[in-house]
Amino acid sequence: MASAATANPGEHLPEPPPPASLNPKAAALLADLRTPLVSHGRSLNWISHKISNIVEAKTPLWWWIAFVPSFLLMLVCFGGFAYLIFTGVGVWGENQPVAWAWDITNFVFWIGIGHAGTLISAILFLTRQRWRTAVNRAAEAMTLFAVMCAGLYPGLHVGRVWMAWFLAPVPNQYAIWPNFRSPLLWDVFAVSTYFTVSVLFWFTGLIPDLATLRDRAKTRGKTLQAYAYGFFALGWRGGNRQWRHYEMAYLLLAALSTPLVLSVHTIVSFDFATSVVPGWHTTIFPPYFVAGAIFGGFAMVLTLMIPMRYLYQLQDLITARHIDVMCKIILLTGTIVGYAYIMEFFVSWYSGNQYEQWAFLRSRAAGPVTEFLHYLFPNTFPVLPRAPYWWAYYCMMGFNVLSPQFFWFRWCRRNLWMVMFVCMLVNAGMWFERFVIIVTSIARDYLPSSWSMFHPTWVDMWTFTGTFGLFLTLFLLFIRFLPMIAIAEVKGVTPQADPHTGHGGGFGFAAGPQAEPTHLQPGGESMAVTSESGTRPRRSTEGAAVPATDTHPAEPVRATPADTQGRKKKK
Amino acid sequence: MTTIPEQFSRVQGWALGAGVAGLALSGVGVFVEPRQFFFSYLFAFVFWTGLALGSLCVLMMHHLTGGGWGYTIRRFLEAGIATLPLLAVLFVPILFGLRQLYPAWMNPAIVASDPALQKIRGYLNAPMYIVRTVAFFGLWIGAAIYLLRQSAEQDQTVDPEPTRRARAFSGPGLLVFTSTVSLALVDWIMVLERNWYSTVFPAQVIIGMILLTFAFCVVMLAWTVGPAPFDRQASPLGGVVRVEHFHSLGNFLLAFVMMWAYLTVSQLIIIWAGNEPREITWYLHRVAGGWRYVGISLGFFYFAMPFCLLLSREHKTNVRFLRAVALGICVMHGVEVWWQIAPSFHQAALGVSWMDATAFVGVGGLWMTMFLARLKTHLSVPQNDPRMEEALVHGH
Repeated sequence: MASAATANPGEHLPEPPPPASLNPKAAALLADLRTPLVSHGRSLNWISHKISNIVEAKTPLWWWIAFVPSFLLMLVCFGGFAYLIFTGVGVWGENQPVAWAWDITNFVFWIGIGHAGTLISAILFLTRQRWRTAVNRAAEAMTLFAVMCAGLYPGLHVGRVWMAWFLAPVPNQYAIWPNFRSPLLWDVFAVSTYFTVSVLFWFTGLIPDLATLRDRAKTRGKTLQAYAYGFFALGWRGGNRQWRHYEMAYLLLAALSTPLVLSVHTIVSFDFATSVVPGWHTTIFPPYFVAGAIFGGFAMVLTLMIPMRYLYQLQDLITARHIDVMCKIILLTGTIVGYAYIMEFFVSWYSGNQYEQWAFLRSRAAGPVTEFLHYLFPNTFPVLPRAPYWWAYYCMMGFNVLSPQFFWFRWCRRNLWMVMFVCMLVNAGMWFERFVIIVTSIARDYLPSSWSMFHPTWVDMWTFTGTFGLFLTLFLLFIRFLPMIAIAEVKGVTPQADPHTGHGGGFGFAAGPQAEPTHLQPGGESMAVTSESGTRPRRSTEGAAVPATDTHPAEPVRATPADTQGRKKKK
Repeated sequence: MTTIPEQFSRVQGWALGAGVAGLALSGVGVFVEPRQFFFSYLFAFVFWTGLALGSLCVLMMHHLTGGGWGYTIRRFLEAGIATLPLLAVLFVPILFGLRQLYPAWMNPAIVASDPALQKIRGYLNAPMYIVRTVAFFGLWIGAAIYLLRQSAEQDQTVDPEPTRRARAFSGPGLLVFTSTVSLALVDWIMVLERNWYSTVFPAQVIIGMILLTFAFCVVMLAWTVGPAPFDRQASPLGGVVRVEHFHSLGNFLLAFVMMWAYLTVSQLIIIWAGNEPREITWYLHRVAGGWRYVGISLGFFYFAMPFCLLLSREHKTNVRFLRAVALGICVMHGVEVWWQIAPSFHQAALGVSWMDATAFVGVGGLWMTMFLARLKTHLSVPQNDPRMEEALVHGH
């Protein structure tokens, strides 16, 4: 991550000059509007080659350096679960009344992270946010892996794992049915549906790119690879009719996934809100959980994508503008979450209900701030004993509500160190949020005689750390074997795919020497993308075109070692 | 055939007449049945203020995002927020009815016997209520004046600076908007039920306001573009408003209908499942007697029907059809506001009063008069917004 600003010297190069008379801030507004989503007027072939080459080139050293510890951590996670299964849930720190602790905290944490992918894929697709194309593939993959990490916990926290099938409404000889009025049961359906649809959506989007990899493997003489990618490409040839069906399938899956983004976390929030525990039972939970999930998910997407962008030199595809937009979404959702925190706090006070007030003020917020207020206004604010988990509440507030406020400022959204810093805080803050909700509420509910603190055991801690190993292992395998950016889709948002290119469509790049003729076909914009495989069915998608445009002298090509290797092999 | 400004003038005349007549008749009601008058008046006030506040919210959302849909309805939104000073004046009668509207916390004897009310008596009392209301209207009117001034400046210059300022204002503006409107809704509606509280309630009402605003803008836009909506010569907005804009606005209606239903049903499920005595009073009064059918009708006609009708692209691109759906949404929003307010007075069974109608027409008549008066002189699309050309020419 060494100084990302210098890593891509061309990043700030050719922005279209605004009228000289404008003041700089207004000029920046115009420049933002006209920044293309793929910079430097990269050609369609460059995009194919750049992304495919990540998969085709030799495994870089850093990948092994990242993979080996991740893999070992994954084993720790499995070890922790194995120990739990053989010994019993007593190896975790749960007690009475804190019967849900790190297990459900981690479940909600991971499932929340698993929301950004589907939001980017489905909702941003339906709302025609074209910038999504650069990040949707990796975000969807991340979603799947996060849901896998999440899914481990509810299954294993039941204690006797071999009885986990009781979660499913299977009529059995004891005639025991699950309680259909319980959100715990709805969770089973919601999460499994979400996972299934997310896999289908992700795979559908991959098909054209798998065909690209297949054809390129064939050209390079890699029969086995060609066979493997070809098997999953389902005989894709890029014909007009295939594209039509593909786009319809993609649209339908997007429409199907959209309610799922809401339903999963809504039901997770119902797990708490339908109880009568103060701190759990509050009506704002559903929208607040959904906003929080998107918030945490986007932070994790950026946490993964910013290093990837640097390591694979993807600055022309994941531009500063992409990161800027995602930061704005983090700001928006973080502020919604902040609104929910404050509304909860206000209403707990406004309710006049002593249990509500106790849950929010004395079990959570009483700490340095209330002490300071007492110091300032000793008569208005009574002195309160520090809440047992005040530090968790302060982390949650600080990381989730205050830290995203940096993103009001453009320089924070454009400084990758700053973005990474805030995203890391948000990742931690969202874990603390779930911990605060779950543990502080039940550690001190109605009866003081039943209060008890929760202390995690080493199994809790290592198992949770291990889930990061599982997550990263899967993610690293994904970027090694599959195209981490949607090749076909990114081409659709290049300036040259815009039908207005060439007659002053406002994009400073399009008319340059690099611009390729667009092969517009009936069916609109997306067909322009597919010109390569669309016009030449049953042939390599790359073929002769790659070497010719790839080394175009007008392009500021940064030849990374991986690039040259890929090219040498081809020749 | 009359031109659109002429039609506006005519309707404006009727609206003024209806407004004055409605308020005068309602004024008679004060002497007949004062409590009923104040509840009816609060209902009318909340409905029309919802439209003005919704306009403020949508306008700021558009300044931030700048989609093509917004340029076609920007003038309606601006005329909507210009009515905020009128609404501030129209709030004054409510201040005289605090005892009628909020008998619990306005009565010292009840407060003294209720520990929950006692805890918040520093917040929930008449002077604080008035101070808050003045502060809220001050902030909203200030925001409206600022945004209208930027818009007027941008019409005169090609320098995008006013647009940039409006955009920079709208981010923090939305923050202040959401917090102040949430607190105002607690003051106006949530306090109607003694000791009742729900954290999602203000958000749910704000989403309803935004939905109302979009529906109202669709009705206004369909009216303004006339019988030949996309004809360059025949329609006053010909060549600017395209069928895609109606499609986008229809999509907004669909999205907000769903979001409204989502929040409404979430609140219902959580309170139903918790079944706590203090929380269910709200619903007990709203399902008592005939009120339950009003509530059920919301499910059918405020959610299910528009949801099904708005799914189809053909419906959203048919201007007359979309106008009809939007009009239905406006009506059902009125029913929802009524269902939120009136059952706190008629707690045992459905109670309709002639004052509900006269107050609604009275406040609405004056509101429409002011709205149309501004619209007549500002009817067109905003000029010189740097994002507009991209949005209107290059698609969405």
